[in-house]
Amino acid sequence: MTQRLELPKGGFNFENYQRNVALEQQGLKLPTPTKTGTTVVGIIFKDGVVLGADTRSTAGSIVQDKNCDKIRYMAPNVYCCGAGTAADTQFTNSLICSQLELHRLATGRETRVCTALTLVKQMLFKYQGHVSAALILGGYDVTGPRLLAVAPHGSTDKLPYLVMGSGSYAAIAILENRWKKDLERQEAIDLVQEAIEAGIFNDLGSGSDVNITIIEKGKVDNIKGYARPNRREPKCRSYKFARGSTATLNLSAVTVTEGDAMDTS
Amino acid sequence: MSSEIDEYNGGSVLAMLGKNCVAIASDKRFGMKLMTLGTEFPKIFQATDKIYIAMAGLATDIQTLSELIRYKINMYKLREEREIEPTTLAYMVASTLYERRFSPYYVSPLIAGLDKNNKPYICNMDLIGCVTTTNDFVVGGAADDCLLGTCEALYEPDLEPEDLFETISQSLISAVDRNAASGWGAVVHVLTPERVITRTLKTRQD
Amino acid sequence: MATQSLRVVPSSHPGEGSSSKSIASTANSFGVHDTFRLGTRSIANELLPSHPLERRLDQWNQTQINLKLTMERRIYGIHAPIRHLMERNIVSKVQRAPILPSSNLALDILMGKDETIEFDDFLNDPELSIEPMDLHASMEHKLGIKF
Repeated sequence: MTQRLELPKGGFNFENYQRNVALEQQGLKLPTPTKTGTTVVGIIFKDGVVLGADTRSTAGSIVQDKNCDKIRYMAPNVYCCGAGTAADTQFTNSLICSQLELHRLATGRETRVCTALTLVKQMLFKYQGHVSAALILGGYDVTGPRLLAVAPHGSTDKLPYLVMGSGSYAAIAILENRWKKDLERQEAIDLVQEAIEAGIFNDLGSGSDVNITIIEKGKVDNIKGYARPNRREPKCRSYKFARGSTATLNLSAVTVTEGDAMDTS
Repeated sequence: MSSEIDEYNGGSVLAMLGKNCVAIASDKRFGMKLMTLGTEFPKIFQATDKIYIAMAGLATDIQTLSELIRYKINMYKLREEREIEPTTLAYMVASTLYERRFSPYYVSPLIAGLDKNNKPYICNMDLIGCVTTTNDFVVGGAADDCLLGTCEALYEPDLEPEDLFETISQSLISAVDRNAASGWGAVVHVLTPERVITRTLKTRQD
Repeated sequence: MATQSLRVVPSSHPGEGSSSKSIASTANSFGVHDTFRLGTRSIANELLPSHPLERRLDQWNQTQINLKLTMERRIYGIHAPIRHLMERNIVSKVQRAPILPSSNLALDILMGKDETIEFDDFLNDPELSIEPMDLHASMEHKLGIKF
């Protein structure tokens, strides 16, 4: 039984690494983590930023979640769309969101999008791309509407329209064709919807519905399911089984009580 | 979707959401590649009275993780002086898996439970802690592709506990019959606000 | 004086830093590895390549601190880093036994950790660690006493 002689440090734990390498050499392949495949799009219009995303997440070639939310809150005026490994985007988003909250408490000011960007890029660079999160950050701060992208290794872009994910090729075609400066709000929303639908229909890693978020000065509109081009028809008949059709060997029932004794076995 | 690691020890798990109830089910096989070593290895663990957690994948990691989660749930109860809620438990397990982001545990956990207002909740996670919350069903393990097929066909929303039991049992049995690495019996727990009913199913023993 | 390195990130060469392991580091007073207290040991496993990130993350914080101190030395003179290290030294003196977690608010403030949160703060929390600990063995290890 090994004893530890110093306080263990927090952070990531690499204990299983050699075991996992040995298992892989025996021929057991590592399971694939859930990726978001995805098409995420951001554009700047006259008074703000529109972010759009599809809602499919995949594990290999299986659809893991038909309706996941990829546009996540980062600050009251900053939202982030994530592509890449889903767990990494979730945890990166949570961590940076907490850091921004502490930053707001310390400075007493509204968050700037470039602050969020700097925190994300420094963190991703530290992990050398092993944390595979490609994010689009969009928001409205004191400098106006702002749209920024971070790639998994930490490189960043500041552009008036951006796409990320496996469906980015399809979406960028729509944007290159029709984006122009100072679009109106509804025109911008329609353009984003078309770009995401191009990704949904042409890319296998993207699918289901279109979610849109519009960020303007002082207000944010989150529209889940703005377009639902892939609604399933309701089933024509019910496939319920008659009660008692499953053969059981035994049955036991436990009544749920309040304040149970703690499990100390 | 299921990799060779899932088939090394075998095993499949499934959870479904019904009307004010949830059901969680698993097979009972424990094997090593093509050899079956045990037939009493259900992969469902009780987290609290109203939350159950099921894990499929490498058996050693299932056991290690289930003990670690039990420890964390007990510490939570000591510190917070209340039972843990399903969403909190889900993110606690996700953080535990993410701690090993670069040298993961090979498990796919599912969580099924009722929160303090008896609202049902199910979710599943991949091996590094990406939480996927749905309101129909979640699957994991060696037969997960087959399970997705049977559940997608047989599931309908707002099933009563007795009907939910039938649907989840038939989905599990049908899928597991077509998967060599899972089987040898099944256990189903149906959680309602008043009781938890556990049934062992009669299945093919191969 | 050692070279004043302005490294922003830890070096990725496996040669730099300590990649040599010896029996002496875990030896008891007989000069052999202390299996009773520490369990069996395989030096091969300790030297096998670990995940490429592990070394980088281990040395990250120290590299950033060194960068800051080196810059201070170059800009302000030797007194600046000496004062900083002295302050850190003073506030680190009062702590619990080496193996018990002790919160050190003053040290957190000096290191700038009171206004931010990192993965280290909520993943693998040392207070929830499940490894067995022996207070006496850890004190002996800290003081270099071998029995």
